[in-house]
Amino acid sequence: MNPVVQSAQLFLLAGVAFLGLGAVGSAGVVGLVRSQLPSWEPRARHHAIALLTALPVLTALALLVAVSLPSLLALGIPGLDHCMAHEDAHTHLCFTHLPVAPVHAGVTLSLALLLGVGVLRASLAARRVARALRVVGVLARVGEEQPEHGLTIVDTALPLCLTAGLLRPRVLISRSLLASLHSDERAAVLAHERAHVRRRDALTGSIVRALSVFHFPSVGAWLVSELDVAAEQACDEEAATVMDRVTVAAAILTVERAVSTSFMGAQPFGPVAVAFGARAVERRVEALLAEPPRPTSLWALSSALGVALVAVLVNATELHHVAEFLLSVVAH
Amino acid sequence: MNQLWTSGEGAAKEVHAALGKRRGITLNTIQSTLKRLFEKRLLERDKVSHAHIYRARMSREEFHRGLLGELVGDLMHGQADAVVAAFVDLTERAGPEHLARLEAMVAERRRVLGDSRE
Repeated sequence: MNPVVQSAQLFLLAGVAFLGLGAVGSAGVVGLVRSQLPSWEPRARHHAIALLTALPVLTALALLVAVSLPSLLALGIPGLDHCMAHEDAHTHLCFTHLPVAPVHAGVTLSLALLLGVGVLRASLAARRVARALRVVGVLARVGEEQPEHGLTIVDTALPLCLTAGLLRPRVLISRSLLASLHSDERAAVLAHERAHVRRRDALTGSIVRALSVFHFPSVGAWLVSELDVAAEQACDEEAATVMDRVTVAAAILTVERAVSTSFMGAQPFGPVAVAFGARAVERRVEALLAEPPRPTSLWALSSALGVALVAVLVNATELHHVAEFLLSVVAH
Repeated sequence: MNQLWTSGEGAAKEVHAALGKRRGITLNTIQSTLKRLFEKRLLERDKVSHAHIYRARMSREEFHRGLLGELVGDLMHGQADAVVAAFVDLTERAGPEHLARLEAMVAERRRVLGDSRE
């Protein structure tokens, strides 16, 4: 096999292993902060969850850079090249000294399978996103646009209020819901939705959903659901700067009751009573009825990640040799 | 579709007169768009003399309901939540007891604050 392809396979195998390591490490970090995180201020919590979701990928990238560092440095400063000290059959994780020994067919097959599944899942997800964006685009075009209020009104009996779209999000609200809200509640709902538009929550949510696949399924699902609640609560807090907190809480309950009544027994939109669903509305309303949250600093979390990154880069040479040894065991 | 919902019906020339000149769209584009919408069964048409007279097959509300149904269906199955943030989650209901308890909490807070609204 072509040594360049063999080298690419070794880097890919290392990347996959580092992603797995990142998923294990992230599960540990999530386990540590899981009980404290729900009490954090929503905006800080939203940032922290986004950061935690990216952790396996960040870990894999940091480790890949670290194990590639000796080779990268040798490209610029030939005197630092240490590959000549290794024997000929050595499994080089290097850009200039390519591996000689062939990679095991099972490894090649597994990598191809993994890549294939990844590409398939990404394509299906992209198709779902494209379909939803198409429907949202048509709805926005045929609805009654009210640019002065930054929303589009759609004619339907369903009590819906959505912010939809990735790069140019729009607020879609049904005329029936608009009519059923008290004027203060209407202002609260619109302030909440405008906050989603400003914050581009749908875009962040899409990125986080894509990154969550690199976690263990239960950890990824928890991060996505917590991100959604944090985004809603962050928008509730922004709405509470326009209207008072009790009005925002009342607006949530008015819409929740309207949705419950409207969807009651109307398949396929029948009510789905689940524990988390109950908690999502409860958490939002209870938080609004409590004292405003105190700002939470992400300094400790950012510092811990920074220290971990420095530790990885400082030990680049050792990590490079450990990775080469492990790859020589697994790949050949 | 918006133009035909407003006017009720019209030939390509009439739609072009109302929309095309203002938006810089040619008569050919209007004709082919109407034909495509007819083929997608969103419009129906009758031939009067040499022209096709188009009208919408469904009302604006029926059209909105269909699209929203599609979007809500996708949301319910977790297929659109990546691009949509709903004011309240459509897949999870608080349940009547929880809702009543939360409403009582809001009413109590309003009573304490001296707000007379229900």
